[in-house]
Amino acid sequence: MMRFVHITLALVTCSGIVATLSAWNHQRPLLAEHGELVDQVGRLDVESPDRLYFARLATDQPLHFAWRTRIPEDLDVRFICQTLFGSSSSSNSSNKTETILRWRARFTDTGMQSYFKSGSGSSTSSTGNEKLVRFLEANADRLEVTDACAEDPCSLAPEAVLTLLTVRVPEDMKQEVIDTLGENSPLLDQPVVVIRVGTPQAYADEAFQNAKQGGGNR
Amino acid sequence: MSDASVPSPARPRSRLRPRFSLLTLLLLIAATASWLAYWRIAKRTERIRAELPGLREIARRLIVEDPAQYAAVQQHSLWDDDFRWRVYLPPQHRYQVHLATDAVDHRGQPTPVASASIPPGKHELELRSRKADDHWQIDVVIDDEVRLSDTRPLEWNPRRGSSGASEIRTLRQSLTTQPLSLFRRRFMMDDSGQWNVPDGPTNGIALWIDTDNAGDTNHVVIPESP
Repeated sequence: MMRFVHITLALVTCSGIVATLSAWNHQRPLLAEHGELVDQVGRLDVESPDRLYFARLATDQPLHFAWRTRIPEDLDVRFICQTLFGSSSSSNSSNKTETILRWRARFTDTGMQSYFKSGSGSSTSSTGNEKLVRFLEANADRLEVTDACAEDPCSLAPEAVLTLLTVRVPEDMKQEVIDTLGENSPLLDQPVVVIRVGTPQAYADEAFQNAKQGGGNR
Repeated sequence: MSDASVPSPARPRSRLRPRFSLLTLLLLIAATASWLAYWRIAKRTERIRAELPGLREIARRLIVEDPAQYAAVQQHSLWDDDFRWRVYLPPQHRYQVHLATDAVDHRGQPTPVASASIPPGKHELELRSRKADDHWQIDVVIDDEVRLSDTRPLEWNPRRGSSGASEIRTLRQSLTTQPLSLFRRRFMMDDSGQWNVPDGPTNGIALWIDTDNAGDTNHVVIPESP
């Protein structure tokens, strides 16, 4: 009886070892590729598949921001990009769960151009205000950047709205703005760029709450 | 009274009681551990498999699963006029990169204005289209070297809109029997006061790779950078 038990256990052990080695052999190339890709684009641990995730990617310029994003399947999400010289909105219409969100500004002889890309959609806007453009170009690395996911990947509940990025003139630069561009410069009270993320319902709820608070304050 | 020196017969109940030796215990632990290890590896493999498509999409890496087919992937655009691709050309043929800037139709390849040979292997291609003061300059950069160029008058692209762009975004493999179309853009033109993309051939940009039949060899050419 015991001999039968021992033989059975030995067989189970052997088959377990063979299965483990086979699974490990199968996993190795996938693990290697996964490791290389994670080194390249960063880790985005998804704890809840119902939430939106953002992980900042390294970029090479002060006015270039990119995030790896993960959006739950079939969730309608709007990305709103408001710059000093225009705004654009796009949705995750391609239905891809993982995309790259990017905002970038570049300075040319004719002005400053802004490029916003979310998933398959992109938009550009520009300004030719020479003084403003040269001021921003000269001070691009002094602007105040508030990136909600700068340090670690962050997540967002579908019912909330996230201000992912705000770039504005810091308080201690405002006198320079007045001296260079005058007291009416939009840089004094408007951000250079704001990027917000949320579902249409979340934006509507936020607008309703804002209106309610505004009404309550009257 | 019973005599202690006389061994008593074994009781039937003790035969039925399970008895574990150290060997049984060790084998049990080994069996459990081996299958637990298998389960953990299988679970991790499942997680990696689920993450890989998203990672590949984000990283836009050129992965060649079938070395007898074309493979191509577009790099993430860093600007709206930034078009770069990584391509793999199988070793069975020689190839030509073609650029066309007029008579671009919805499908099919127009007559190229410039062509350049490209060896099998992995390459990086970039399409640059810049408006200068008095003309448009279109360049195709292959592995950091401008290999194809065309100059067009300003009216070639009225900048009223266009349709089409990169024909490849995420990784794609395709047979070498068909050209590998990388880019196709058709410009809006003035149609009796209305700006439309014409139904037929029109000004635009087409960029594609095709086998160079004249230069084909029966020998297998080793890729330069496999």
